[in-house]
Amino acid sequence: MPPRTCAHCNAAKAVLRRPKTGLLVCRSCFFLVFETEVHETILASNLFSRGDKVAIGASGGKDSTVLAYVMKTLNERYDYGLDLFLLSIDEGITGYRDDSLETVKQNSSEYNLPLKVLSYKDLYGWTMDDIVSTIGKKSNCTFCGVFRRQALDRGAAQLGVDHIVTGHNADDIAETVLMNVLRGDIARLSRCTEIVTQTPAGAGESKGCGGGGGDQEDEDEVDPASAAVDFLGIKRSKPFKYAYEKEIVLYAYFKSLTYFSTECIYSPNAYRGYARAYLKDLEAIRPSAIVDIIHSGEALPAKGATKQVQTTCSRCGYLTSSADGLCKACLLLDGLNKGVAGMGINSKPSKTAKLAATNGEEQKSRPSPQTLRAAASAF
Amino acid sequence: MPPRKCYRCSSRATLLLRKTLASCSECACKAVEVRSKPLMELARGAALLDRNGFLDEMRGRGSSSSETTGESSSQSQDSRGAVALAFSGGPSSRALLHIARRLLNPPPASSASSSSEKDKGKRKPVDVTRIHVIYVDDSALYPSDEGGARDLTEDVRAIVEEEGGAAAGLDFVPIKFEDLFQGQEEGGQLVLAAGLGEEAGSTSTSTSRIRATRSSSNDLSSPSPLTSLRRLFSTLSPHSTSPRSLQPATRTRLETLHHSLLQHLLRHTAAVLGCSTLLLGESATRSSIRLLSTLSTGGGHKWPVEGSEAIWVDEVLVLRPLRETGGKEIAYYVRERGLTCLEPRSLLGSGGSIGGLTRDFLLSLEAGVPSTVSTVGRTGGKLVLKEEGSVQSLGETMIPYASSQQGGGWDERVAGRSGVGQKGDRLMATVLTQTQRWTWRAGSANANANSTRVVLPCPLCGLPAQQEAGRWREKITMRRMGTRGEEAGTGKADTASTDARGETVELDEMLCYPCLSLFLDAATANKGDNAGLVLPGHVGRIVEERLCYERAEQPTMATNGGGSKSVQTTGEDEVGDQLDLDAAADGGRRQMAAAAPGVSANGAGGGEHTEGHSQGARDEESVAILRRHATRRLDRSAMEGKIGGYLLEDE
Repeated sequence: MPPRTCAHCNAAKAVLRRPKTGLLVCRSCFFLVFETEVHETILASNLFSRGDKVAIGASGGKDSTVLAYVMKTLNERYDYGLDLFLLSIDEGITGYRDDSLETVKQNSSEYNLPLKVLSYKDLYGWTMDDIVSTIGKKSNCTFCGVFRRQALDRGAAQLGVDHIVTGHNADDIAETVLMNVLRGDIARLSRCTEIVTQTPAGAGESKGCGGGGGDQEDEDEVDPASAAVDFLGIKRSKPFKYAYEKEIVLYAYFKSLTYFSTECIYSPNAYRGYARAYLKDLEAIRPSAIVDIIHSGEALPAKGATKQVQTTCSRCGYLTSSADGLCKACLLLDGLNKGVAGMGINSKPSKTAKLAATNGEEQKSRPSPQTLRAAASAF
Repeated sequence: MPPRKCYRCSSRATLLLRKTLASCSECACKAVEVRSKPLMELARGAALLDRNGFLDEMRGRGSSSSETTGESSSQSQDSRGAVALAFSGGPSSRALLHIARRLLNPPPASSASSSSEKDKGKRKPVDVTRIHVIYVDDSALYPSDEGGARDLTEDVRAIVEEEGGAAAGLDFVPIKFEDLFQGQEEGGQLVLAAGLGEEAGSTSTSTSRIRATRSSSNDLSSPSPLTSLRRLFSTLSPHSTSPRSLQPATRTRLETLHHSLLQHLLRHTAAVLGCSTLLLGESATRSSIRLLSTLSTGGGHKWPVEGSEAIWVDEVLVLRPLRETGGKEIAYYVRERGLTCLEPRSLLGSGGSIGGLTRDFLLSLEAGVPSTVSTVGRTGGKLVLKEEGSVQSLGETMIPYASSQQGGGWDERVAGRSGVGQKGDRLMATVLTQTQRWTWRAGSANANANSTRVVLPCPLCGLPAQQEAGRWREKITMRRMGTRGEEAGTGKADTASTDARGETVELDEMLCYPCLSLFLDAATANKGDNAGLVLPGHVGRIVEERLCYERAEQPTMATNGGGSKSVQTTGEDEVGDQLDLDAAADGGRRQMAAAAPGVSANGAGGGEHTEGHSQGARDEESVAILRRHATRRLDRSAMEGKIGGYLLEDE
């Protein structure tokens, strides 16, 4: 069989079949088409303005490594005029994050991008190893996700950046759509395909988020409010919204990029795993299923899916929609520090909150037997 | 362990509804009926509205004379108040037929006209005059060498007779699937001009133009409806030489097309029969499976209409009374009530498809998390059309009647009109104010929606279609780069110009996303050999109506940014708009520069990346980068494991 030629240039020998379109393409056309798709996504959503300082959320994995490389390439090729940084979070997972951070540092020097690393230990006084040893592997992803999101914002605020870009790809977004349908999370379903999210104007004006200056923090008792850092108006976006995971891997493969490919050792068999397996099966049947789901997700407004009113956390100044005035991270941290790790996770927070209050006040509110007898006699 | 007790009546339980909930046989069956009653009440209310002439406006019967005179002739009363019920013979539709007959309680056919007088005092007032049981025979689609090819019409008729037949107010209406190709006289047939193919094996995100031309249905060379139907489906069927890996995708196309056409045929038949309501026997399980399947094929935008439990699709109220009831409960109900039903047969046979995969996935998830089906169902019920105002309450869309009855709400307007007392009046008011209607015809929704853009229907499935679905695909895949010229230059596109009136319909600009994918995938699978494919009759009708609508609404649509040109005379195709890689790159740079106020197109501070940045320079950069990376350590075997299927053999 004669060698097949590239569907784009009709000249060079095709070396791969694009997972997204099924077209046979040569190496150079694949690079250019992949990069141009990301560029078109950036243009269509008007993600950046000239002079923006942009932090690339870097974990050392394939997505963030390719994102850093592509962002740098596009910034130079199309003269975006962006100041790029790498921003990494050290969750404190021995044997996983310490190795991947080495990859990030290597990328930083190769791409000549400044790197900022923030650790959970510095920010919250807990590493993920500590958390897992306390609560076990169940629900530990909740802690990690909440802390990481806030840590990224704090890191971005310290760097003074306007924008954080993350390596969420099309597969991730499609999985999220499916997962939100399966668990009936209407509010998230309506917004999970948005390419940009932004801190609402006016929120967080009372205090900065704090926590940025690690040297100001006590490891035993975190007081994030002690460091006022403004994180207002930091946008988050996903330039790989329409990029298939397989194409990202192909890009890294042909570009010989260095990335860390081990899965997180604490990643449990979470509910997302079902959605992921289903998506992979769908993709095997019909490769366009991933973008088809995103297309569906973009057209799914829901009744009653109004945005929650956001205020600021009374403790750290971070955004929260909770009525009790504490952000999720502070609530989780409270639970950890008070030995009630279920606080903020369990479906009935009132019980855990009561328990936490009971423990926190050193059983001050526990009724005495006499009180109980008196209460019973009243009935 | 002691026997469990029924959660309702405390007698011995025989059925485990959930892990913690057991029920006795009678209570379980009653629960199925009770859950479907609210929607059956809507059917009664719609029938009452129909019998009292309220629905005439949306059917285009002119002004509602019955409202002004307060009387209607006995002949017109006869044809009003009928309800259609889609019946396949399977357990769900069998249960629905039984429940509908009990709850709607239509009078015997012979006494329908005079029942309100003769049976006065002997039976409940008549609101639903008749139930048309519609059975669609699709046996023509099955291969004749398989057992499924037998026409089951007589078997189904026997089941309807078992339920009471004409004596119970049931009219059996057998129709053929190929009837889709009947009735093409109004706008002429639409014949697919060319579905331009890609390389075999390429996937559905490729893009092409889907064109159709008009031809007279009186043409002697026109194929029969049966031939047209078989040709349409065989175009999508697995080719004998196609790889096995492509067959699930093919089955998915068949599944989608079959479902879309069947739903349209049912709605159309109900409208032709003059029914106000179409009852569908879709269970909670089936609805959840379909929601996930629809999302997976890109049809999420139309789910609020396609999957709603109660919505007026134009002039027919489509109800799904069993949507709160699981498949297992329905099977139990059918068994306990001793109802005969047919074995469901599948067009797809064995093998995977998105529908089959989704069913297996959801049922396995339901086994571990029992609330999955109900959660997915509730999620689907909360989705709304993106374009606000395109779905409104029925009363709001009945403009001529409302404007002629200035003052007062619907409660006052319907007072005393039902003829069956205050309950009937309230029922009519409920239907008018609480059921939603999706319609797009001029003078209805648009008149009320003011500046809201109306969602036009897809010509193939008849459900809401987003504008420029194809362009969305092109935009995110860069598929047009360097390949557009090939499509425009093929001879098949020119074939369209020689047909009929020289008028080409750009179907790809009208089809909804899943239907467009159907055609594009079929074109891909058949290497573009779709020319001459006759499309179902309603496609031409909807295209014609859309064009009329767009012409009528041109000024409004222009201000709203909609209304793209859909009909072109051949030769006007925009061949010259093709992109190439350099143009895309240059254009992108200019756009970024233009987006930055005060920065010239040359880019301040970016002197080395000016407009003269050539492909050669980029290649040099790429080579340099590749060299810099050449010495890195890689876990290539792990990477190849992920992407192996996409690397060609010699890589």
